[in-house]
Amino acid sequence: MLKVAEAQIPAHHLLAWKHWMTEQTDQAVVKKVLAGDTDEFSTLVNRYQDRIYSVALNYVSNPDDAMDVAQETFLKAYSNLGRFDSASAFYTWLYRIAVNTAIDFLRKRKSRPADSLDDEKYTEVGFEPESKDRAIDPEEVAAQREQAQILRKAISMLSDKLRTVIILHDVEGLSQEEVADILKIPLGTVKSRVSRARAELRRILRKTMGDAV
Amino acid sequence: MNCGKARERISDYLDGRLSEEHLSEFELHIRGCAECAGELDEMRRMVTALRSLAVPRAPIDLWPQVREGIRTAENLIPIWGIFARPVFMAPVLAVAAAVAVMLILPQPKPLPEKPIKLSASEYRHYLTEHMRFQKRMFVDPEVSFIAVELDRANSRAKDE
Repeated sequence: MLKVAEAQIPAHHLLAWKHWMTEQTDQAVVKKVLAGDTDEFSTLVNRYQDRIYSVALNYVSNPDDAMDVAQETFLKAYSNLGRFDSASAFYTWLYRIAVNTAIDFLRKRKSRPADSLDDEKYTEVGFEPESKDRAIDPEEVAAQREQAQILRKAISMLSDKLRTVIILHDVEGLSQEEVADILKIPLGTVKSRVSRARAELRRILRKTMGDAV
Repeated sequence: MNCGKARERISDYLDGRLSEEHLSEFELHIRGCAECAGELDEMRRMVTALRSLAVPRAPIDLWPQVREGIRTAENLIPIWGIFARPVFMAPVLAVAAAVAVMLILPQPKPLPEKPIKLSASEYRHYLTEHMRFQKRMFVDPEVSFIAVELDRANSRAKDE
């Protein structure tokens, strides 16, 4: 029955409807928190923590630092919730805070030595097989981890602007329109940055790692 | 379409953002150019690999840490958030601005009290008029004092 219903609705309408439903809920939750029901903030954290942590980890390349950035992102969101413009989408606002927090964090971290990408902690999250049922090939897992390390190191060598579009668009899978909303820049700028970022990343990978990817 | 143009469009092609016209030109070029086809393949593999960097789950202790951070920092922050809205802040800022202006602007200085110097005739005239006024209004219990003063002034005037 659901399949029939979904098939009759154009895909983009369905997505827009789901998006609208989510937004309604986000706005309602924000209202509740602002009205004093501060525990409701956990709803927003639970809803977006995976995505925000993922963005953070792909900026800072270290689980502990990513945890700090994600935590700071939510604390900033909480303390600035009164300034949130309810006319815009909550998640784009949250992503914007995460991006700015991560970039600030990296600037501060420049003063101390960069963490090694070989750090054992680095491999603790993110690259385990998605399903426990899937047959685990240790060599394949090791290769995936190595590939991820190489890619993250290459991403870290991009400028802030190019790194941001690569993380939001290519890693997180956000659309160019969403990235434009998050960064408050024109769609055409996002499009050209994505193209430049990919070309630059390809150049870095070729130069530093050979054809590993 | 030449190789330079084709490579410029690889990114848009992967995102499905080429117009119909450019798409057919691009695919035609790729079919006939092994080098550009190789570039496209490499770029496609890189973009696919980038997608695998997304982390599926955050650590389970993220929310408890955020909650702890909120409690430690300040529980009333969202209340401040409400009061930070223009509807609350506008009157507060208006009053603050008025007070600031009052404090900053120079205050008018009180006029210096200059002693009034009267000539003898002016003084007598003042006393005479003042006594008349007081008698007419029946208000001054010290009319006699004024009368004495007036006599003194008159006698001084005769002496002069």
